[in-house]
Formats: sequence, structure tokens, C-alpha cells
Amino acid sequence: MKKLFKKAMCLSLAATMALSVVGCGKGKDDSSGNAGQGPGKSSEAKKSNPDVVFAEDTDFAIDGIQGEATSFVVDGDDIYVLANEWDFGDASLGDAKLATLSDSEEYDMESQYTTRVYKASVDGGSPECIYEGEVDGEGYAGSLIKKNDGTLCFIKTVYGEDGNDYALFEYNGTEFEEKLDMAKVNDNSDAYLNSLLVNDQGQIFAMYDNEIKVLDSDYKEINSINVEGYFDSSGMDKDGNVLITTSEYNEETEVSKTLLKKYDVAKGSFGDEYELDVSYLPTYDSIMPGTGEYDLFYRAATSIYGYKYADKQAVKIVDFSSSDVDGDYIGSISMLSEDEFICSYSDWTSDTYESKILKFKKVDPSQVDNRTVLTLASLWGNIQLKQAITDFNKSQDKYKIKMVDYSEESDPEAKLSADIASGDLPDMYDVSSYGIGDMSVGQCIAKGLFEDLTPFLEKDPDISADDFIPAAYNAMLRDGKLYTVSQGFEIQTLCLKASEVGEEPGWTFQEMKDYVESKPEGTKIFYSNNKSDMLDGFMYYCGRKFVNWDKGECYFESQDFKDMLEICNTGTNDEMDYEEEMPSTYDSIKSGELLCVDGYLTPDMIQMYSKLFDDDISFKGYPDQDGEGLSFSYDGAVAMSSKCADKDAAWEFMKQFMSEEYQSKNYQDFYCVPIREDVYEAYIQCLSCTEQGKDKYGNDIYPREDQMYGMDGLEIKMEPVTADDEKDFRALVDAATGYVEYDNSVSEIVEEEAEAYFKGDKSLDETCTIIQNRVTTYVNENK
Amino acid sequence: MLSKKEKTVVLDSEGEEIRYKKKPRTWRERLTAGLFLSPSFFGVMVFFVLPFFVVIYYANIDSIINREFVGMQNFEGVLNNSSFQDAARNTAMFSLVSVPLAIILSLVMALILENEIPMKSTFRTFFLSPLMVPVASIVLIWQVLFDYHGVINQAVTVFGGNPVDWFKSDYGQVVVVILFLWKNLGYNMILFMSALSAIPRDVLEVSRLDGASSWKQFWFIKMRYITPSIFFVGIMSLINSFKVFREVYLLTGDYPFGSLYMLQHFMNNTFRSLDYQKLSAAAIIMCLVMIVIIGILFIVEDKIGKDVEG
Repeated sequence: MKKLFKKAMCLSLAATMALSVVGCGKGKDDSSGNAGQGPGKSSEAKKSNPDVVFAEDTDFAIDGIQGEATSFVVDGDDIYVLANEWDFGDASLGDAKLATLSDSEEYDMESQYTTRVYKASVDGGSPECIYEGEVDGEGYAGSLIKKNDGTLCFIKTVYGEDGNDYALFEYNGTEFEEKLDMAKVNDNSDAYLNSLLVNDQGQIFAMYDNEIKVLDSDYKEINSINVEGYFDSSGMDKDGNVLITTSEYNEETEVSKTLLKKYDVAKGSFGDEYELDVSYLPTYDSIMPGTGEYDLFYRAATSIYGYKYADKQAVKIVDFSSSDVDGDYIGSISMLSEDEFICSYSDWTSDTYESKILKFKKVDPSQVDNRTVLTLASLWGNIQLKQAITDFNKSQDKYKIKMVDYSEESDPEAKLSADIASGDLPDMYDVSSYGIGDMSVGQCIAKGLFEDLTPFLEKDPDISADDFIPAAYNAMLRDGKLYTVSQGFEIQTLCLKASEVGEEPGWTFQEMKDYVESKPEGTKIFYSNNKSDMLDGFMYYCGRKFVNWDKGECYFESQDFKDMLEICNTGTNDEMDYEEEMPSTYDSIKSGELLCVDGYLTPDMIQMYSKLFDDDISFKGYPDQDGEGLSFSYDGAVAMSSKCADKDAAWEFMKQFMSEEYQSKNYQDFYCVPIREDVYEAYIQCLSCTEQGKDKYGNDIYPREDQMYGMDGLEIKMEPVTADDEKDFRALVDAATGYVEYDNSVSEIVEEEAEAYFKGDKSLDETCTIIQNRVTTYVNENK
Repeated sequence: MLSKKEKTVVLDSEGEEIRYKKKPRTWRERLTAGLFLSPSFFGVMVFFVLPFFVVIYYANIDSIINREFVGMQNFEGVLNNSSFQDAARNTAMFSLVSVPLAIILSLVMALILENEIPMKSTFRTFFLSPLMVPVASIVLIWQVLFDYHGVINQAVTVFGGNPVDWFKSDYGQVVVVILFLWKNLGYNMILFMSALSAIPRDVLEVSRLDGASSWKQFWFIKMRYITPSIFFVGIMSLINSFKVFREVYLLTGDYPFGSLYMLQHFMNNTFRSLDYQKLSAAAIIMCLVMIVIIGILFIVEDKIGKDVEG
């Protein structure tokens, strides 16, 4: 009996040990509305930490700076500000703004600059202009520094056809004069000069993107350091040491870490290394000298941290989100102390493109508001969402949305997964990259992560399903339910010559294969003729059509899939070398060497593709079994967590993206077509206007006559959208049915196995059988 | 002679049984014992007992997001899941083939090395060497050997055969069985050698004097004495056969060709995709099967090995 008992005990202990292995990672049991409970980032964001809240010091103002404050330096009680005033000539502000957002470099070449340097008190007040340069069309100034002897210097960048030229200017008490042609320091015309730094010994560091030149105070080179790979950011610590950070990415673990490296003057190289718990630093000047107990401060995407070498620990000093500040608007920062900082601030979305110097001060913790916090998780950050959050928070006194930016983590996807697994769910998700990490929207819905928004939309007094463009709205639905909101869409398509494939959108793989086979050998289907690149594109846009998740079936042995692989196999195994001199897209199409261009279509892009093809164009789309072809790609999509702490409040925030008020105000900043019918009208009005005026909402609209669109060597003058273009686009919208959804696991298996076929190691049938076998396992496992 | 169940009784001068009273432990002794036990107790509670119940909890909810009680639904779902069925079939097939082979081959090797053969110690070291090679290196060697363009296929081609995609065909399991045996035979062999050396020499000498053949000596004497070792090696090999996932995963990734998809692939993948309810249900099912198998082995061992153990 005793022996039997012993054996029973042994068995039960073995069972306990076996099961306990999978029981680790326990989350907290919770009822509904548990979002943000636990040890993860959402909880951290919800725990109101009043010590990291800053507010703009409204008593501080440096009024009268003309142009954009691009650089500044704080010297004791003084602040020197370098500003460049841009003169766009006859071009409108709207054009200037558009150019700045999209193709600034090209536009800059046609602009005139006036550089000024101002001196003001760190407490604010009227600035004294100590230098005003002549109007200059060659380049602009930046990287203002003060040498140890008190001399001010800046770098002037002159754009050239073969790269940029840099010159160092020094202040002689009355004006800045050129002291050094930086080409003498670094004759590599491709090298990009990020900034200048001065260490405690007066050495000047010219921080090129992958090389650092160390000069003495007379600008004689004393050292040159080749940094392995590029470095992200540079700056100084409290003791005057020069620091850089590099991102080290481990391909096996897919984790990236940031290493802070300190320059050792004696050795003339970077010595001590410290690991920062952040995946990247957002700007080249994210490191700032420390004050008080901190050796340095560094800026991450949404926060500023203080760092102590001795502790190897970072402490959050400022939280932009808690402070209702959009960190993307902040340029350079100078920490005056742990309690205040000065920064350059550019609201590039405002009508006036305002740029100014602001001071922020720590808010007395007892004065910090205690609004209910809802979190929005974003894996890679999202500028538009951040802006919407800032606007929403300013309009609210009850709720506050905080973006939980996982891009600050070493492994963002793993961290978010761990948070979800531990029950620490955010209230909303940014799904603008078609899902959450490796999980597609469909998979998230299947796992119960997302809330069905249909009931919220149905009872909402302000918006309804009838407000939206029907085809675009219907394609957003999954099984008739709305799970994500989006401000707009593009039509994802494949463009070809209508004279060769007909005008009707949609075709099958067989039709595409026949078309490709009818062409002479050597004709490229896509610009990249690499087989794997082509397959990657096909899997991205058509991959989901080979899996039926409802039935748990795969169709990788179907003729369609075989046709797809055969189409890809007409390419080459050679890697696409984009550096190589090769004909432009336009020339390739014209000579008949290139057949297709894939694109995201908006009404104004119709003329761009037409001019690219110089012929009647057909938006066939990617082939599929049903010959439908066109898909929607949604922009700025947000989903609500099924465990959202306050679903009504979250809906109030989310619905704004689909509201007339938000869309009518912001549609000109969208990179997509607004989804609302009424705003779509204003959007078309804006695109088709021939003279400056107002749209139906009273927004300024500008003609597009002077706008050029560059594509692969071809400069296309954009004309106002015609009624025919609009009609064609609308017809394409009505014809589109699908949506883009990418399953990384399926694509990985397909691409891995197809390689053997592309190399001729395996037959088409063998390859398809193996793919079918492996993907079936994946699909059944996840059913 | 006393039978096992009879107890010795001490009588006093009048023939009455003397009953000794256990001295009661003082509170100080209890506290001391408790304090010594507490680290282990809390460790076991936190790292084994608590997760055990967590797994049972997860196995009975619909998802880690909603956490609604669904009873046996997850077990039903997992048992009907064709990927789980494939994984269970593959794992069972692998264990059924590899464990007996691991026992038989290592025993044969131990018997061979038991004799006075030249370079005995070199061979012993040679067979043990796979234990010292890190898994990553083993995987690399196997990839070099069994890759589509690997050494084996080159040899096959030289002899006029067609290359085989070893890891993406039904031969996959054969390759992994070879890998498993290569890695585990040495350790099993050492255990058997130790068991063989523990057999009383006098028994073997007496049998030889009685004219017993080598075969009879092996079957009637050696096998009786090494039975407990055979069971031990069997259980260890069974456990190791479940752990072969590590090598298979490194060789073929998350979703290998069907014949190499093991139970731990299912569990590993469901963990990554946050399907903890499926993972937990599968773990409990696997655990129950393991308990039954090990239970049967205990019973068999109890019956067969009793006379040798005494």
C-alpha cells in the first residue's frame, strides 16, 4: 500500500511538473473592462505619474524670430537661436507645405533662404538679431554651436548634384564668415554631416553619418573615427564627453538594442559602452548633457529619460503624452534642469507652419489633472494618431488618451504579445499596418482581441454607415461587423497598358500568365525582376486568397497558385541591384521591357500613372481566382479592445476619424481618400480646383498647376483632376471588393519552399505539395 | 521465520505487550522544521503547484482575452484538431520506433564493450562524444549531411540515385530517429555497462561451470539483473524522445513538413500565437497519456523486476 502510495505521489508530482512548464506567464484573472491591469506598458501608462508631467511655460516667449528656428544653443543665461527664413517665391504656402512634407529636398533647391542668428534671455523676451545673412538660394544654415572660447559657429549646407557641400562659418563679433570648407575635412560627397559637437577640451567633432572627424580649435584634423555602420544619435554628457548611440540588431532573436558609447580622448576611440533600454533614438541629437544627479538625458519617441552611468539605469523625466505634447513636433531640446527644458517646436500641420522656441516646466504634482486614461497601443508609433490624440485630449476634461508606443522597446512585438498574454490589454490598438505585429486583423478578431463596433456606430447620433462610400465601408466589414475605423483608403492595384490587356479591372492568374508568355523573353513583369521579390508582392496582395480560414482549407496545389509561381519563375534569381545604372520605369515601359507597375491609387494618381505609361492605362489589379483584382488599403486604422475599460469613451475618440468634423478639417493632410461621401466631395473639389479658393467647408484650396511629381527620373506635372479622372476613380472604387491582409507565417513558408523551385532543384508539383502540407498544418493549428 | 506482514512485539514479564509512546515534538522543533522546509515548500508552491492549477484554469476558458468558462470544449477542440492529431501520431510513432531501438542498440553495444576487445576505452569515449556536442552544432552537422545539396544526397547521386529532400518528405522521421540514436546511445550504453558490471560474478561463474551457453547466461541471468536498468533507460529514452523537438525545431522551424510536426511544435506555436487555452488543453492531454504510459511501465517493472530486487 505504502509503495503504491509512493508511486501515486511520483506520478502526480511528474504531472504537476509537466504541466507547470506551460503554466508560467500567468495573467491576472479579471472580468470585463480589465484593460491596463497588470505589469505591462498599458498599466504603466494608466498609473498616473505626476512627476513626469510638464506644461508649456506661457510666460516664456521669444517673439519676433523670422523663419524657422532650426538650431539653438543655451549659454548661461543667454540663448542663441539660428533661424532660416524660406522664401518660396511665387509658390503658395499650400505648395510649400506640401513640398515640405513630401519632397522637401527638391523644393529646397528652388527656394531662397535668409539666415539669421538671434540672442535672447533664457527667460524669454525680445530677441536681438546679431546676424542677418544675405538672401541665399544655395543652401541653409544649421548646427549652431558655441566653442569653448565663446565663438559661435554654424554649418551651411549647400545642395549639389553630386551630394551636399558643407562649410563652417564663425562669428567674428559682427558677422559670420566662412572659416572652413568641410570638403577639406571629409572629401566623401555622399557623407552627410549631422551636427557639430565641442567637448570639454575644445575639440570639435564633425559628426558625419558614418564617420567622425575630430578637429582642434583651429580646425586642424587630429583624429578620424570610422564608426562600424551608422550611428543613430550623438551628443554630450554633463562632463563634456562626446557620446554616440548605435542600434545593434540581432537577426536571430529579432531584438534590437541601443548602445551608448563614450569617446575616450586619450585613446582617440569610443570606449565605455552602456546599454539603453530603448530600440532606437528618434533624432540625431537625442542625447543631451545631464544636470543635477544625471550624467545625461536622452530622448525616446515619447519621453525624455535621465541616465546615470554608475547605476546604468534610466529614469523617466518627461512623458510627452502625459504632458499633452506631440513629441513629433519637437525638434532640438536643451534640458535646463530636471524640471525645465527649452525646445524648438514646429507645428507642421498648422496652416501657418508655425515654428518657435518654447519652454516647458514641470507641473506641480498636486496640480496634475486626474482624468480617466485610456491607452492606445501602437507598435511602430503613428504621427497622425499622435496628433489626433493631442487634439482629442485638449478638447476633453473627463478622458485622456495615451499612446503606448511599443517602438521604444527592444522587441516591440514580443513586448506587446507578453502584455496581452499577461492580461495587460490596451484600450485601443493602432492597426494601420494591417494587424498587430504578426497577427493580421482577421486573426486578432478570431482571438477575441477586438470589439465589434457595429452597435456603437448604429446608436451613434453623429455618424452612420450611410455616411461612407459604400464599397469602401463594406470592404471594411468582417462577417458584416465593423471592427476597425479608418479615415480613408487607397485602391491597391496593378497598372498595365489597356491596349494590351483591356480596360476592365480584374483578371485571373491564367490570363496574366498567358499575357506574360506572349511577351518576348527578357520582358520584365515588375521593376524588380527578382523571382523572390515578385513572389513577395504576390503573397502580400493575393496570399490570403489561397487560404480559407473558415473551412480550414488551403489551395496551394491549385492551378492558380501554380500559375502564380510560374509567372514569378519568368524572372531572375539575381538580387535586384537598385544602385546599378538601369533604365527608369518610364523608359522601361516605353520600350516594352516592363509590363506592370503596382500602385496605391487616389484620383490624382490616375493622371500620374497615365503619363507614366504614356498610353491608355488599365488598373487591372493583382490577379485572383474570381478575377476581381482591386483591393482597398485602409489608412490610419484603429480597433477597440474587447476589454476596453470605457468603451463609450473609446468610441468617442475613435469615431472622430470617421466624423465629418475631423475629416473635413484634416483631409488635405491625409495620404489617402477620405472615406466619407461628403468629405470626398470636398476632396475632389480640392484636387480639381484650377484657382485658389475655398472648398465646401471653407478650407483654403490651391490649384495643383505648379506641382510636380517625381517618379524614378520622370517629372510629371500634376494637373487638376478632371471629371473623367474622378469618374474613372469612382468606378474603380465601386468595382473594388477585397482588402489587403498579409499573413507573415504563410508567406514565409511559401517563399522558403518556392526558392527550391526557382533554383530548379524541385519541380513545380513537388514544391506545391510541400507548401500545401506545411501551410495546412499552420491553418489547422490556428483554426 | 517472520512473514513480511507480521510485526515484532515486545512483551513484559507478565506477557503484556509493551507499547512505546512517541515523544511529542516541542513547538520549537516544529518551528525549526517548518523554517527549514519553507523555502522548498514555497518554491514548489509558486513554481509547480500554482502553475499546475493555472494550466487547468486556462484549459477551461475560451481565451485569455475573454476568460469565459467553457468546460471541456477546449479538450474537444484540441482532440478534433487535425494538426494536434498529426502531431500526436508523429510523436507516438517516433517514440515507438526510437525508444526500443535506443534500448536494444545501446544494450548490444554495452554487451560488445563488456568483452575484452581492442580499443575498448576509445570506443566508449567515441560513443559518448555526442553528449558533449552542443545542440546547435549537432543541427549544423545534420544540415550539412541531409540538406538537399548535402553529403548524403551527393553520395546518392554518385551511385545513380535521385536526391531526396530528407527533411521535407516522409523520410524526415528516419533522419530524426538516426539523430536521436546517435545522440542517446552512448549515455544508455554507459548505464547498461554499469548494470552489467554489477551482476555478481559468482552467479555467472557457477552457471558457466554448470555448462550454460553465453545466450543462456544473457537471457536467464544478465537480463534478470539488468531489467531495472532497462526500465530506467526506457523511461529516460521516452522522455528524451519527447524532447527531440528541440533538434527538429532548429532543423526545420515552426511548421515543418507533416511527418516532423511533433506535439511540442503544436504547443510552441500555440504559445506564440497566444492560444493558451489550446496549449493548456493539449498539455493536460499529453500529461495524462504520459501518466498512463509511465504507470504501465511501473506496473510491468513491478511484476518483472521484483524477484531480482528482492
